This record gives sequence, structure tokens and C-alpha cells, in this order.
Amino acid sequence: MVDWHPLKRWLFTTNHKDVGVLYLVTSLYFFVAAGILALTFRTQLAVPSNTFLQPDEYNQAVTTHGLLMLLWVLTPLGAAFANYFVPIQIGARDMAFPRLNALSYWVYLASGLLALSSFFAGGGTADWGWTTYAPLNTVEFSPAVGGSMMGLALMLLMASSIVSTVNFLVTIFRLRAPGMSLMKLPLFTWGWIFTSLLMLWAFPAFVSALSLLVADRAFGTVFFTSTQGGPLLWDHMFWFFGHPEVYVLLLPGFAITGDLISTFSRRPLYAKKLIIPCLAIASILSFTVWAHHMFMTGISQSLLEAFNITTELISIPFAIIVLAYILTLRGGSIRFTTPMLFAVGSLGLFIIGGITGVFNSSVALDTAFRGTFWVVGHFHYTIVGGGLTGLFGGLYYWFPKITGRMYNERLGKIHFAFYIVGFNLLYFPMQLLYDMPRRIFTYDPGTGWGPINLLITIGAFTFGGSQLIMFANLLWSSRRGPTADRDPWGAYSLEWGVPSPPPEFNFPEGVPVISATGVTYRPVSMANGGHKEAHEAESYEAESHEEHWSHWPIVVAAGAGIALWGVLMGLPALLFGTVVLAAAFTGWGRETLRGRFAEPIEAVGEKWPFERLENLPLGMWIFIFGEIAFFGTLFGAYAFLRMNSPLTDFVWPRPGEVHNISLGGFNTILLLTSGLTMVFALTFARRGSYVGLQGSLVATFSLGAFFMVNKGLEWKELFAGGFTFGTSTASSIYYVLTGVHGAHVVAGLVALIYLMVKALKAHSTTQASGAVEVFGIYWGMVDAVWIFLFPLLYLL
Amino acid sequence: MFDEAKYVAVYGILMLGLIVELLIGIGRSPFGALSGAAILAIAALQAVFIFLVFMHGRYGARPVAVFAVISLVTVVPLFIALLYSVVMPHHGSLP
Repeated sequence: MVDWHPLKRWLFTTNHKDVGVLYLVTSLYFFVAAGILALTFRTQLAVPSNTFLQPDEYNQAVTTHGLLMLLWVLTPLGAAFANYFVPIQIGARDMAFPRLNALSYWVYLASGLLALSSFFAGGGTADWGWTTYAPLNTVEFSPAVGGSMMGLALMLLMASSIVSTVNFLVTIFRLRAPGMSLMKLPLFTWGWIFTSLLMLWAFPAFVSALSLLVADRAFGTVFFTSTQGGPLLWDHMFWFFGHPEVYVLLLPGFAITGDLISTFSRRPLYAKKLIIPCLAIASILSFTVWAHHMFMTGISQSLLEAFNITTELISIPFAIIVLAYILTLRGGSIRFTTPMLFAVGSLGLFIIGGITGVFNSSVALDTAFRGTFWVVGHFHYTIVGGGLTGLFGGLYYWFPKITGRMYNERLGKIHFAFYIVGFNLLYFPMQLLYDMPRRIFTYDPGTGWGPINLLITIGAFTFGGSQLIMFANLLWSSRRGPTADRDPWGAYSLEWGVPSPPPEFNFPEGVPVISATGVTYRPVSMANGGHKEAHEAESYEAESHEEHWSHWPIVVAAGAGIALWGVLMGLPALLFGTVVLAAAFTGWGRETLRGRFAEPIEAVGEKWPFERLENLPLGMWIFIFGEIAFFGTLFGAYAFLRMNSPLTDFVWPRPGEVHNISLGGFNTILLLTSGLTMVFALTFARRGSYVGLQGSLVATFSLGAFFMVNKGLEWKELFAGGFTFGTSTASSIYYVLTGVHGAHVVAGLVALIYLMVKALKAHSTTQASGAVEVFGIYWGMVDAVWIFLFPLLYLL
Repeated sequence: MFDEAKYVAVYGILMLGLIVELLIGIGRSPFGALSGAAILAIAALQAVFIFLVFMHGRYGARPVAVFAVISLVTVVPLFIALLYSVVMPHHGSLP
């Protein structure tokens, strides 16, 4: 790393540790921004009838605080540690797809900048609350363009997270060191597996909801603005994402807490084999509890009862984990270092959050507490107490490993003292404000809420101010702190066996081999079965990133950010962003074709249960599973709108009334035939038939392009006939479903061009067969989605 | 040639499914209320065939298939809740 110009290193790096540091710094920056917003609206609420903020400013501050803290701070802070430490903890040299990893970060940054820039878009940013409830999220009630910009920023962020999720799952399942079975993984890595799975299935659902919202705001569809769709659809789609998201926020910090308790109690984690299934059960149940956020929406009694039960059930696995943590402490040789204080503090705060959560699971109590500061107190105890506090423990814990220097222990403990006092002063009194509505910008002196609110605001400033101690400590210590050795804590996971900070490819002594007796390091050439010895040896000796940097991730992210900004701010920016994006993808492809970017070679290790699947096909399959959640949620919206239509006196068009069945059937034939030519392409590639391969790819491209032309003509005809975006929910869902499917087809056509060029330049067709196979999986998904779209839109 | 024959056979099955779908969709009277369910069932079978083709029988089918089933099952509760929400009195109209 020493040979690199710092700017080049941080802009173009694909190294997982550098990307982790970028995530860390950026998420802490957003933490400060979101914290300042919190202090402004707490100042507003400190005294009755205050005019420090105007109502609209208050709404914007609360909305942006919530969205930033949840999505741009907590999740990425977990991702920072995951980026830095998961590859080391599993014994890998880097992530499975280093460039995609860098892309995830830069897209995350671009989305955050887009979100913040929405403040300055004219009329302010989103002001509808972090839950973005309909119909507040519609243009009628929130006309500012900043609101739409926030919606696009959220979509960009979700895309970044989904790409990152695919990368992590492939890395953990395919790149583990020899002997590193899944059960031997540290709890943090386990926590990140479940976090990734939750993101894989929950985030696409949010992208679906945002697609409908942005379509409403930008193109005039009527999902949330008409009597035919409405708030209930948004509630279901949002909270189907929103509740698993709570566990996305919680699990990384909660898992770190377990590792810290184990390390600083000098005891193995009690009942770890039980904790992991409990995490799995909690993750599964998290997809079945979302409607407890909707007890007051008037959903049927049966749904209330079902979600009451599932919500109470989910407390059981967490109770077991908490007991396991406490039993780990019992009889341990406890050292109350700063990380341990944060771990124990996190456990205590989470218990309070958990107990207040059980209250909310009861329909009867929820009826009383819903929409009050009681709920605000509860979820901050859970998410900030259980999540952020654990992550801060992790920050102190891993600081010596990241920087190679120790932090100041005394300052760390002072930080903890102010943190825990400020936290409880801030959030505990909220539990007493169970009669104060949470969505008001001021209140009357006669309510009697003034003194408690003042106390809360004092707590907010104490809590916020305590973070300055941490920043000062860590900044000073990163330059002047005493040198840290490999393992200052006597910890057990693999990152503590490598130098602080770790070298470029993590394990200078060779590939770690984990056995019952401990960790040994095998020379690299042996670990790779003797292949590529020269390259391996060179990589370990010299810290040169020359083969592993790429400037395309940052350019792709910039292009995407500018293009999305341009969607709302004007055609020139949209065109410029699109050109940058196209150029970046071309450059990315050329870089790959020329073999300029070489991914670090991994040792042959543990790959269960995906031994027979290479990294790239597994990544594509995982991506497809996310797509199932994306399209599944859209199909759910279609079903809801259609079944709901008789209740709103809207007559859904009968088959053949609006859509041309013959044209739809013809398009289905085109797409299914393109699927056949695609599998032929793979067969020819494996058989070495160049002409067959190119011919099949050209045929697939032609059929796909023909499909899109037909689709365009069909749209034009429908528009001419008065069936526009905003005609009805039937037209809105038709255009969104066929639009996002069409976007997938277009992306596939671009990929096909790349494949044709790759086949042209490959020395043999078998060289191209891997890419053809991966694209074939994608194209199969595009076919399968249309297989459902055709009958739903044309025949039923 | 074996691969090509296999894929052409699957393609034939998909086309057959499409024809049956069209027949049911256009002349739905003999199937009555079951016509919608029959069409969706055919679509689901077609999707399974496409999935199996792209599995190529090479991956050790089980982990990928299990992953796929979990993905599908994940969105099932949302479907149930959305459809069940329809039976309640209408909510969501704007003023």
C-alpha cells in the first residue's frame, strides 16, 4: 500500500479492507449529519409552543434523520466491519468480487449525496416521515421535488445493498479457508450471513414499493393517489421490508456483542450451537411480523391475531440468545475494557427494548401506545441500544487491528459513561410520554409534557456530545496511540492472528488451515494444488495493488447518481449521467476482456453447500433469488389492486378489452425462443463451435430486440387509445410491470453485446462458456417472469 | 446432439403450455371458475421447466433448489396478507 498515491488508493481501491474503511468513515459522517438533525428537532421540542423550527422544517429534519440513521448509518456501519473482517475471519484474501465490492460502496456514497442534495432541490426534501406513508408521500401532499429525489436515492441505496449482499454470500459460502466449517465461523460472520439473507429478500420488496412511488411522483401513475390503491398497499409493501430491516440493523451489533462478551469473559460463547439456529429462526420469523406495525389500519381481526402471535413468538429466540450471553458472563474472567462496557451496555439496553417490544406486540396495548413517544423510546432502545451500541463496541474492539494503534482507554470509558447516561436520559423518559403523539412539531404548555421533553433534549445533547469524545479519542489515537500488537485482547478469531493492520492479502504466513488443534499456515503453492505458484508468491511478498485497482466503480456510481439526479432536475444532466454510465460500463467490460483486473486467487477451502457451483454462477443465482422477492412483491401489488378493484367500483379490463392477446402471445413465443437459442449458445460454447456460439448469441439478441420493439409499439398503441400511466390502477400496474421487465430485457441485450465481443476475442469458445452460462441463468429469469406476466396481463 | 434434442423437447413443452393457456384464456367457458387457476398453474410449471433447464444438472441441484424455494416462500406471507386485506372494508381513499 505504501507505493500508492493516497488519492489513487482511496478512489480506485478494490481491497476489502480499504473499502471497509471507506464505509466506516462515510457512515460516521452520515451519523454526524443525522445526529445534528436530531439535535435540531429535539431543540424544537424542548419547550412548549417553540418556534425554533417551522412545521415543514421539522418534518424534513425528522424524516431525513430517520432515513439517514437507519439506512445510511447503521446498515453501512455494520457493512464497514463486515467488509474489513468477514474475509479475514473466514480465512480469505479478499471478497469474491472485489470490483463489485468497490461499486457497492461508491453507489452507497452516491445515494447518500443524492439524499442530502435533496435538501437543496427547491422546496426542501422529503417531509413524510421515515415510513413514507401514503398518501403523505404523494405529490398532492408532498410536492417538493426533493421528495422524489429521496425516493431515487433510496432505490440507489437498495441497489448497492443488494449487490453487496450477493458478494458477501458468495464470499462466505465459497471462500472459506481449509477446515473453516460453517459452525466454526465467529458469531459476527454468522450475524452477517443472516443480515445478508434478510437484505437479499427484504430490500427488493422496498425497491418494488419505491418503484410504484417514484412512478406515481414522476410519471403520474395512480397507485397511492387514487381510491383504487391507497395507503394500505404502501403499508404492506413498506413494512414487509421495514420489519426485517429492523433485524438488518440489529443483528450485526448484536452479534458483535456476543463475540465481545466471549472475548472479554475469556470463555467460549455459551451454547453457540443454539444461538445460530435462534438467529435463523428470528430471521425467518422477521418476515412474518410486519403487520404489527399496522394494527391500527383496520386490517381484519384474523390478521391482527396472526401477527400478534408471530410477534410474540419472535421474542423467544432473542430471549434464548440474551440468556446465552448472560450465561457466558457467569463464571467468566471479565475484563471491563471499553469494548466490553459497550457490549454489556448494549445487552442491558436491548433487554429494555425487547421488553417494551413485547408490550407493542399486544393488539390491546398497541392500540394505546401506537403513534406515541412510547414507540419512539422502544425502537431506539432496540436499534440504537442493541444495534449501534454493539457496533460502537466493535469500533473500539477492532480499532487496534485497523489502525495498528491502541485507543486511549480512559477516554473510551469516559465516552461510555456519557453515552449510557445520555442514552437513558434521552430515551427512557419517552416511555413516560405514552400519551404524547410522536408526529407533532410542537405542543401546548397545558399538556404537561414540557418538563419531560426538556429532560429528553438534555439527554439528546449529552448523548450527542459524548460522541465527540469518541471521535477525538480515535482521531488522536490513530496517529499518536501506542502501537498495537497482533492480539491485544487475547481473542480467538483469525483476524487476531495477522499483523495490525493486516497486509494486503491478509495472511502473510500462508493460507490458514483450521483444525481441532488450532490454526496452522500452509504455504500458498500447496494450498492451491501447485497452481499459479509464481503469482501467489509474488502477491504475498509485495504489496502492489496494480492488478487490483479499478477506476470504473467510482465512475459507474457517479454516472448513476448524475443520471438519477437528472431524472428530476433536467434532461442535460440525465443525458450526461447516462453517457457517463454507458462509458463506465464499456470501460468495465474492456477491463475484464483485457484481463487487466485480476481477482486474488483463493485457496482451495470449505465451500459447503455450494462445492459444485463456481463463484460467478452462484452470485447470479443469489441475485436471481433477490429478483424473486422484487417481482414477487410487484405481483403481490398486482393481486391486491385487482382483487380490491370491485370494492372501489372500478371494473378491471376484461381479457382482450385493452390488450392485444395475439401480440402478447407472439411476444411470449419470441422470448421463449430466445431462451432456446441461449441454451444452444452454451451447448455450442462447451462443444467448441465458434460459429454455433456466435449464431446463437446473435439469434438471442435479435429475438430480444424484436420483443422490445413489439413492446414499444404496443405501448404507443395503448397510449394512443387513451390507456395511459394514470388511466387507472390497471394501466399503472401494467406499465410498471412491463416497464421493469423491459428494463431487464434491455440490460440483457447490453450484456449480450458484451458476450458477443468476449466470444470474438476469446482464444477458445470454452473460455467464454462461463460467462455464457451465467448470462443464461439471467435470461432464464427474464423468461420466467414473462411467463407469469403474459397470463396475468393478457389472459386473466 | 443429445443436449439439443433435450432443449428442443423442453421448448416444445413450453410452447404446448402456451397453446393450452391461450385456449383456456380465449375459450374459458368449459373451465369456468377454474380457468384462472389452470392458467397460473401452467405458468408455474413452465417456470419450473425453465429453472430446471438452467440448472444444467451440474450444480448439485439441492442447495440451489432449496435456496429458490426459500425465496419463493419468503413472499408468500405478503401475498396472503395482501389478499386477505382485500376482504376487509375499504381503506385508503384520499379526501
